[in-house]
Amino acid sequence: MNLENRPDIRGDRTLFGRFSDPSSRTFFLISLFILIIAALFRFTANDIRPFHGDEAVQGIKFVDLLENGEYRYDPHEYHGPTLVYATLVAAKLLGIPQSSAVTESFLRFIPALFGLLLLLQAFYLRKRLGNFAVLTILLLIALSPAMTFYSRYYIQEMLFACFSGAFLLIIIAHFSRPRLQSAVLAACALALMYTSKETFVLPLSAIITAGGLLWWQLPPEERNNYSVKPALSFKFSVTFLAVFFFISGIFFSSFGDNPQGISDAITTYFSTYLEKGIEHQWHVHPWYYYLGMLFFFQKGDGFIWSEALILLLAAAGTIAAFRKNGLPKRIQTIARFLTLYALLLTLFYSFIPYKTPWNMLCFFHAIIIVAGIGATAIYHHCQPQWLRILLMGAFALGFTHLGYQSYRANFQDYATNTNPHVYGHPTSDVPKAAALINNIAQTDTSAGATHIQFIFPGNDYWPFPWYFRLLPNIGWWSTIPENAPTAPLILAAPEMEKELLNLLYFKPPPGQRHLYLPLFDEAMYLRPGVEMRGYIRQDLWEKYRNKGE
Amino acid sequence: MTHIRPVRLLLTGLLIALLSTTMMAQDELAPIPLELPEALFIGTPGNMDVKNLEKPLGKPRPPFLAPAGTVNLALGKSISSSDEEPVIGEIDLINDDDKEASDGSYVELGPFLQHVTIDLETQANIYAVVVWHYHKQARVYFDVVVQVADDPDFVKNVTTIFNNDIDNSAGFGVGVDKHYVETSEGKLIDAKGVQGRYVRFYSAGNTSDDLNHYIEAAVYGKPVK
Repeated sequence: MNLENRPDIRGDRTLFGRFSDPSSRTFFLISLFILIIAALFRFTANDIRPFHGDEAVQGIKFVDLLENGEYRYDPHEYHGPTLVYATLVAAKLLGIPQSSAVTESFLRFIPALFGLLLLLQAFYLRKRLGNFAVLTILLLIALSPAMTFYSRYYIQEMLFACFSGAFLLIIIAHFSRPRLQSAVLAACALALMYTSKETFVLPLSAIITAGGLLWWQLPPEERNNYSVKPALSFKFSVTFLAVFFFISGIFFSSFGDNPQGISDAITTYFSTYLEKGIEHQWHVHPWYYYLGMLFFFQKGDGFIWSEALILLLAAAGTIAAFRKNGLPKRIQTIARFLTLYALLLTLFYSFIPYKTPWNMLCFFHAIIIVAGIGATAIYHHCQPQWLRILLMGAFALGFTHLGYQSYRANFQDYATNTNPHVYGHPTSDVPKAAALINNIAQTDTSAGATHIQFIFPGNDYWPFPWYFRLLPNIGWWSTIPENAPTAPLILAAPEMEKELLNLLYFKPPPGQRHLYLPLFDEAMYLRPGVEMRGYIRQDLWEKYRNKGE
Repeated sequence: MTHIRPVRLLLTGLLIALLSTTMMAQDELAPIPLELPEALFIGTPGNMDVKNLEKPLGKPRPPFLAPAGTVNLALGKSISSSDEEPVIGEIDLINDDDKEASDGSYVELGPFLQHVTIDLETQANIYAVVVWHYHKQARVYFDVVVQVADDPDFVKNVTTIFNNDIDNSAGFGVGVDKHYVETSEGKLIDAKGVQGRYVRFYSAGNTSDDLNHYIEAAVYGKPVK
């Protein structure tokens, strides 16, 4: 049956376009409701999860920028500058002057904001895919555990997903109706993608390949419906490239302070990321890692996590997009483009051996858009009315399930490794240890700042530098500090204990071998399975005790 | 001879294994567990108005850390006292490992400054000293001074490892350590790995009376090789 001829999907009163009228109150009320839910998942109590090591690195970089005005793009690690500069803008607007006023909650406000912007982008698709699809996309982004979890994560990923999503939509707009504004906006979005993460080449390649494939399979008579040649005109191309290089240059050069950053942003592909993507020591996972995690994840006898609903709807969207009469003609081309983009991007990410769960955001966003198309197609193919009601009930259950998982992921299992998104993550012992050490450090006011030493092989003491950024007298060590004075408060990896014993009890002359006590009453873990041990000199412990803590 | 060789080899192997096990154990930092007596506060403690008094922890003290193999060197060793005829008990109750506060477990020495001295019978690296004066009642003992020396007269290589004599009434200088309330946990003193053979404990009365009491004194360390 040709969907174009079906009475229920024809004209503005169809489900694809039922709420297309801008005055449609129902659409806006439902959208508003979804946005509120999305905001609650993103902004509420976003400081309860311990700071991840990667978040801590970005936090320290931001604090350096805030207090010293210093940022230099590092071609070897830590990605691009958009995160710290976006945070700087927010700090200036909110009147946050210095490091002591910077909280985890404030820092996570930035990705949460971009997580919300990612939702808002879906409104652009309203006239192209219809309200049912847009509402589905909104709901899925709002409730997806992956989307909510990484919206509360102070790393570049949500910004990258947001800029990639924006670029995708602007490109669609530009090739539908080429204008100078859309060329400029597309260049801005691409530059922001680039300055967020070096992996911007993946979505860019996916867009070009998807567009090329689509163009190639279009009958010649249909190609005239699309403004490919005008969109790629000399004027637009030059403008696009000029804006792209200008904005990228501005950010990578730290607004002119570090011109070296511009070339570093290019050489990084050869010096770092090519090798990292293929031959990285850690984070190497099989091709099905992301999809497997999204489909079904259970660690031990822990909670079962699944975003299979989204994958199944996306599968339905893919079938609908490529079936002859799977979708109305007017949306089929864009649906095919979006589906191809999602498929290609998923393939690209899946076949790169280096994988971390947050990397999925960019292609998962594309999958969600296709899922929106799939949900709409399924709804339309459901006849009679009672089947639709049944389907809506099933959708409601599925969405509720996603919402419940998001609740668990963000407010309950936020630091346990039974949660698929808790990856290389500090345990809840870290903020507890940090609070205790900060408390003890404040005790020792007589002799100035308490000297604290962190001794972890491979400098594996993150995120502690974030938690102790305000303490001035801290030594960060990867080996036993032979020539530095021994601190009264030491945190170390268990494997350092033998050398530490020598440092504390054998190396000093008799009469200077201070007695140390264990800092913690119980085993404390930096990450699951990675123990940390604390040692406090007896005199400091006595001082702390007398403080009445 | 041919029969002896395997036995020799076996014995040598065992000896090497034993030595390496001992050396490995010495290379470890171990929490030294103290077997603590039962807490015996009886009745409402008096309101103590003592200067420089440390606050109670309100939770058990963690074990202290020392090289594995650290033991109580004072246990059963020769002990003497400035009060040769204690009012209650015998001097050797002080290092018999009985830390209970019940009658028959403590020694009562006369008033004013008194001391007991333990001879470790060998030079030792001393990491910690723990002393229990009397924990049947919440009390504070005054002028608690602990010294380590190489000779019984405390002339050679004398080191004061604890001193809470805030007015120098004992004559060893003004102490910077705090007064403390006696508890069943005893007072843990950091000896900072000082070397010595003799350990002397001074005190001069307490908040309840002028007498001096000792339940147990433990000296944790390892003999100098």
